[in-house]
Amino acid sequence: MKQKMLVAILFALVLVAPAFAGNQLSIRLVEVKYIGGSGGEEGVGVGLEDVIDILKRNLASANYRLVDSCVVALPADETRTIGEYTLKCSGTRKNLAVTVLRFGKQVLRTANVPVQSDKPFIIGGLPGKPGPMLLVFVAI
Amino acid sequence: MKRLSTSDMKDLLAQRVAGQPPDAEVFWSDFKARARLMNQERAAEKPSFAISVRTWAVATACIALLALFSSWFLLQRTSEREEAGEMTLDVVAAHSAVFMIEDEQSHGTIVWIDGMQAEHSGDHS
Repeated sequence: MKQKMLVAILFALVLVAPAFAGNQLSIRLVEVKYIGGSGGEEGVGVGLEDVIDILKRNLASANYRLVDSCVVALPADETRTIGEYTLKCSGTRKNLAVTVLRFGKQVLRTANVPVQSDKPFIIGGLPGKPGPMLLVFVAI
Repeated sequence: MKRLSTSDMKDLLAQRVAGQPPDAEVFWSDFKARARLMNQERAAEKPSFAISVRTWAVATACIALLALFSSWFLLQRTSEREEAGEMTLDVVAAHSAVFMIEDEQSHGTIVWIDGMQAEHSGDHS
């Protein structure tokens, strides 16, 4: 009987699980490597499989390399360092507020950013070495 | 063995006069007296604890669906309230332009900040 109850509980969890999906925020720092520029192709696209299509469609003349990543629980109220950047995240997945700092100096801030599992939010053109950087926000 | 003829049988039947039915009052009082001797309460049905796996599955599915629907409903309500705000972007560092691209397929958003100066970031290279 206990085994049957366990199976029933697992069955219920499987059904209910989708309702609780997307309660974490994945943040990735990505280096933009312009095609034909210096540097090899090592690590290009690795760890970016879910967003590489949107990047290629809209910013076609570049390759992308994952530099660093972190995961923040939603609703968020914490500060994370990712590569050279410090991110102060607060709010829910529907109205996320992010302040981006580099070497302690504020670069930009956003408010009411919606982040969903299938709709990435990407901030590009951030200063970096050797080229510009991207910040990719996706709810997971 | 003596075989009875039809006439004999008729005679025998005629001799056995059917007993008169008792008086209704006597009958019912006798009936009630007999009934009192027996327990007339209907035996309570004992609950069966042997619930089948199918019953468990159906019950669990119902609870899960209810939980799912409740969660979805609450999320929708919360979303409606939260989506009232409009996204804002404030680029503090010096820059030349900001482009916002809405991807048609994924409906994702790309904000590209052009000409952001590295000097502001404290990068002294």
